[in-house]
Amino acid sequence: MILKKVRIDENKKIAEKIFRLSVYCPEMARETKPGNFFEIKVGKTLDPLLRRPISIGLIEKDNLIFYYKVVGRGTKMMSDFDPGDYIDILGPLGKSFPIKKGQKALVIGGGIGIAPLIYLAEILKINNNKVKFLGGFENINQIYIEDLYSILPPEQIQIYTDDGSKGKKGYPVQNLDTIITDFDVVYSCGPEILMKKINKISLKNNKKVYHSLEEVMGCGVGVCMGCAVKTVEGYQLVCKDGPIFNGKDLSW
Amino acid sequence: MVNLKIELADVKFENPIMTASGTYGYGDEYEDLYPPSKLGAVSSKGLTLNKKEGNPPPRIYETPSGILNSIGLANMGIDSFIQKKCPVLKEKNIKVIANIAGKSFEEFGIMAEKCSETDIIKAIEVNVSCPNVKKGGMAFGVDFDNIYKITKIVKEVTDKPVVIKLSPNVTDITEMADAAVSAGADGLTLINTLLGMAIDIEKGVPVMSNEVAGLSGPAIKPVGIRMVYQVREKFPDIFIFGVGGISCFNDIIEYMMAGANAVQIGTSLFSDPMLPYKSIEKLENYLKKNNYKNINDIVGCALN
Repeated sequence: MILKKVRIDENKKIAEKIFRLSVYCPEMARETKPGNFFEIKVGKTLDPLLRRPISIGLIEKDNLIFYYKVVGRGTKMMSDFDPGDYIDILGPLGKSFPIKKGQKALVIGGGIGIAPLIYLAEILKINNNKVKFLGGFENINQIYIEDLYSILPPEQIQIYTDDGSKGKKGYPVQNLDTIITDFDVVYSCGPEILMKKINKISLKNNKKVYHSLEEVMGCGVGVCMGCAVKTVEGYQLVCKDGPIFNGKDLSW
Repeated sequence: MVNLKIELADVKFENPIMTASGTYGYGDEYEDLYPPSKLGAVSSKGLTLNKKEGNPPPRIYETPSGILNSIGLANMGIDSFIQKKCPVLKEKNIKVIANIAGKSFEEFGIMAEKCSETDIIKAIEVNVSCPNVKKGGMAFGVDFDNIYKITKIVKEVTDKPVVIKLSPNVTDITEMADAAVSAGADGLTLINTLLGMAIDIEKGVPVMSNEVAGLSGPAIKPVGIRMVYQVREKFPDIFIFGVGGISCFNDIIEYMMAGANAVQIGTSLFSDPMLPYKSIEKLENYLKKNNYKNINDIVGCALN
């Protein structure tokens, strides 16, 4: 855990409501693993009070890349960050995705939930995993995974849109029962309804499955006990015990 | 050289800057950033006799310059804290105030006795003011007789300083302070969270599953300052921990001038985890610059 004011090198809109934020911080970049997140201070005043937890999207040499969607006041303020400004960030925080060498990995994400899976895809590839990436979006205007195409060849990426404006029409869980048989492990992040379906199908097929969860957080480091998620062993904290959870441990 | 040392009963603390229960985990979670041993003390997460799961989510909801919380005293239980956590904290030289929350009179006594077993616990903070539990909590802290009785029970079983953490959700805070002081409390912590609520206007129901929740953060600071001041006015000698909405160094001075002997920083840690640590040096410089020799020189000066 490092607390630092870091320089913004880029904060660019890359799709509808979606931004790509790049900040320079070599020591954080060295420590950050896929699935980790950062608590970003969005303003200089006391309102809004809380930092915003944002998953790491990618590491580019000495820079941390975050993909975020403008959904409320905090992220709206983030979208006003200018290159050259310094922002106060805390991290890396939380547990990372477990990764084994030489596996066949199925990575499934929906919407802004795809963000943490981009860096995951890169590290899986470095660890000689054979990766298939399924990404769901509402429509063509919300697709923001250009960076993923520099990591995986296009044939390993399948896009789905709700309205069929790009890729396959529908959701990245359709035919999952069939697709999943070719893989050793599944990774997911996205709307809870999507992750729950992925969890059910993965467990039914005896596949290991890991999810990156989201919850409103107070502290991000496990001191306030604010971000509870129900697991088979009672409540756990998304910030400290997660945000990555083994699907079999969740009470879904 | 200025003196930042303070004394609660016969226990000495290096400085008056501490962290508030429920916002600093069990004491060492922020150690990557600075050694928590540098703080005057840390107040533990509210401890219960048995491990407690806490309330269903959502537990946190952001409000203007504050947060509503409904954690529900999720904690590892006092035995785990004393047996597993305290030895670790001792090794790190962290000074601990154990915050205990019983759901019956008896439980307060049992927990206070357990705290007496370990020398790492420097003081006991009796939580009669948690708004987020069904049994005990704030129900105790808004009643003179209950506060009096609990304070007596705890004082009887321990030699450690006993501090009563009071609820602001009362008509007259000095009356509740009177109950604790008359029963022999060594100090008071003022204040716990204010009872609040938020409505989800999409669904037309309260946001929190427990409906009500505790409001903390800068939004409540004026209430805390007022209550510290009122209690100090009536009790010139009682030790007071000032808590509630401290978000910068000046707020610490404000609380002390209102009558606090020491302060606890809480919610603002989430946005500024360095605040307590940074404030120690600032406090020293402030006293030097203003020609004070001793931290106690500014305590309650606003009342004179």
